[in-house]
Amino acid sequence: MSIEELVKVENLRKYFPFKKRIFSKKVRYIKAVDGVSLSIKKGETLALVGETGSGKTTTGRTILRLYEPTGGKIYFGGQDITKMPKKKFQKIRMQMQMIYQDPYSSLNPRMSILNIIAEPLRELMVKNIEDRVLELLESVGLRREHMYKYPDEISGGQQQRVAIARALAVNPKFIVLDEPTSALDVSVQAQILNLLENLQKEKNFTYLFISHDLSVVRYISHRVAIMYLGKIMEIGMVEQIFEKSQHPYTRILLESIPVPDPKDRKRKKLRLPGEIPSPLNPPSGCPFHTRCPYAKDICSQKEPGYVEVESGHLVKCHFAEMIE
Amino acid sequence: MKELLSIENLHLNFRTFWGTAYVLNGVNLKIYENEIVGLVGETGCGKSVTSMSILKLLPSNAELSGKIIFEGQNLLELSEKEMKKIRGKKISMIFQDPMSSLNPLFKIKTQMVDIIKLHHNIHKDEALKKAMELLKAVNLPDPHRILRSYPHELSGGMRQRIMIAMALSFEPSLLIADEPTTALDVTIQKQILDLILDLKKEYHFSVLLITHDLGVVAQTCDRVGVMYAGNIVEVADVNELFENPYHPYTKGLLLAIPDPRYKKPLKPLRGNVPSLFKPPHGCRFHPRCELAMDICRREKPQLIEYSKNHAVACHLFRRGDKK
Repeated sequence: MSIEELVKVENLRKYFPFKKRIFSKKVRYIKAVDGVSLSIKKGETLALVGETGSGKTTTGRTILRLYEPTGGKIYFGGQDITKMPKKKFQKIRMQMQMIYQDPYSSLNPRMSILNIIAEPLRELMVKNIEDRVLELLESVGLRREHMYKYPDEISGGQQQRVAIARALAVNPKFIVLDEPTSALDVSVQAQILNLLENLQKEKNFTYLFISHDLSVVRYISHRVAIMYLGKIMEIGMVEQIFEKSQHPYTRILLESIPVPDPKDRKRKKLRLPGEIPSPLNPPSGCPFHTRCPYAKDICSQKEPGYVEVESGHLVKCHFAEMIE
Repeated sequence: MKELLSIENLHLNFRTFWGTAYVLNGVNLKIYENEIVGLVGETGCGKSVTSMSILKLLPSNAELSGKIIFEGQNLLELSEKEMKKIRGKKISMIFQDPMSSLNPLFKIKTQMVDIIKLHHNIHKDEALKKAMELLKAVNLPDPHRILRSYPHELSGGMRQRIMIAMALSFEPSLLIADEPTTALDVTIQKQILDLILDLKKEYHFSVLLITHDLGVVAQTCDRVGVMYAGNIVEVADVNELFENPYHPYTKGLLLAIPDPRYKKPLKPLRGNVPSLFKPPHGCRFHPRCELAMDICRREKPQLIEYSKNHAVACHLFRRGDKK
């Protein structure tokens, strides 16, 4: 593993046990993450894209060990953290942070902004806490006057800035952003995206950006992974995915995005039938074959492996490179 | 084209414990027959409340004035009894979250049959037949199974299809869709929007599509109204609006959204949406406008037709000016 890679995940699996009846002995598993391998370089943004139930959030949380993985390996800065004891892991955990979709529910409504950001600092025995909080607030575009306010006194965009400032308080290296702009209006979304991008340039942060919004992903990320039913279907550089995608699912996903230009309407588009199957009962073979317009017999029988169609561009499809 | 609905100078205030919120500040909008009109704007700009005003589904502390002319009569002058004949029959509505519009305790069959029976005054068996037809019309596979299901057993996309089926059961002339696809995934969003377009071709109704997503507007609407802080600031044909926006707010919005086709720099609008308890004087957009002049602080600009099929409410565009 090269030094440049900050996060590396090999064959990561997270199964949740599930009982159909409370007293039944038969336990089935929801395979939320089923064999995900990826790596993120220092200073890079990898976007994890997929529909509801594709396992993108679970993947993000499992990498931070907020869920204990069922199988596979997680490396952080070259160290295997999969089974690391709690005490030792705590020091590393500090270098990883998470930012959530709804800023309001991730901030304690009874704490002032000052206390929200100061809490991790106190834990770290930082001196001159107020100066440091001010510095953090300024780095996310807020001012001293916001310090004594409470979360419900500021707007949604400002709440998300506070959540970002709190994450920055412990000097992290790696930040998992779980749909950080989905709850915000478009004009505010642009502010937050620019802020995240500038912070990354300044401090060389590594981001895992979880999103269902492909327009935002195109803007913010360097590399993109497309997930479907707990598996990565295609991964590559942002241009490879958006311009030279080889997986039918990626193609259809891209064609479903409403482009903010009425002239785009005339383009003939693929229609994707049906909905994402239940992860309790995933289809055999290629998980996408039930909805795939190109599916052949082999797709329902054999699960495809990854084909490297270009350097760094992997596609999980029997017919990669053959689809027009 | 024949005019179907005309909103004229609609004002809406809410009296609350904290003071009066000036929510709608003279909204003007026309909807013609057989067209899809988009209403876009950010949270709190008044787009949902405009649609609720059309159906008069407002809480008791609402003060509504102006005119809403629908098929020749002013809806604001109608009694509750007369409104009931319009709601759901001539004007139907679907909402963002189909789960909360369906009763979780009853099977789809019970809910659909009850409504159809009540409004059409027909027998249960006939109503059931009609329900099946409607479910087929919205492309739901296996309608027998759907009718036997409870709402929680169905996916978000299926529930939204059921809502559309129920909304269409009386063949309304206007369908109000309030963020119908916001809670859905992109692939399902595409399916639902395509369905609305297909059904419109078949049943010839008009749609008022309320959304915050300019992409959805670009892909589905014929005309668009842009709302900001209780005003319609611009109305135009969809192509014209995206190609040649007039209002600084519309321009700002278009510069702030990312485009999936290429990476372009994003230019956020400065400032925040104003409080509706103390809206700015004059043009409500002036504190965030980079081109604001003196007059913008004093006088509210009127919505004028500046060029053909393109109206704007901004002091930069005066009646009689030639472009």
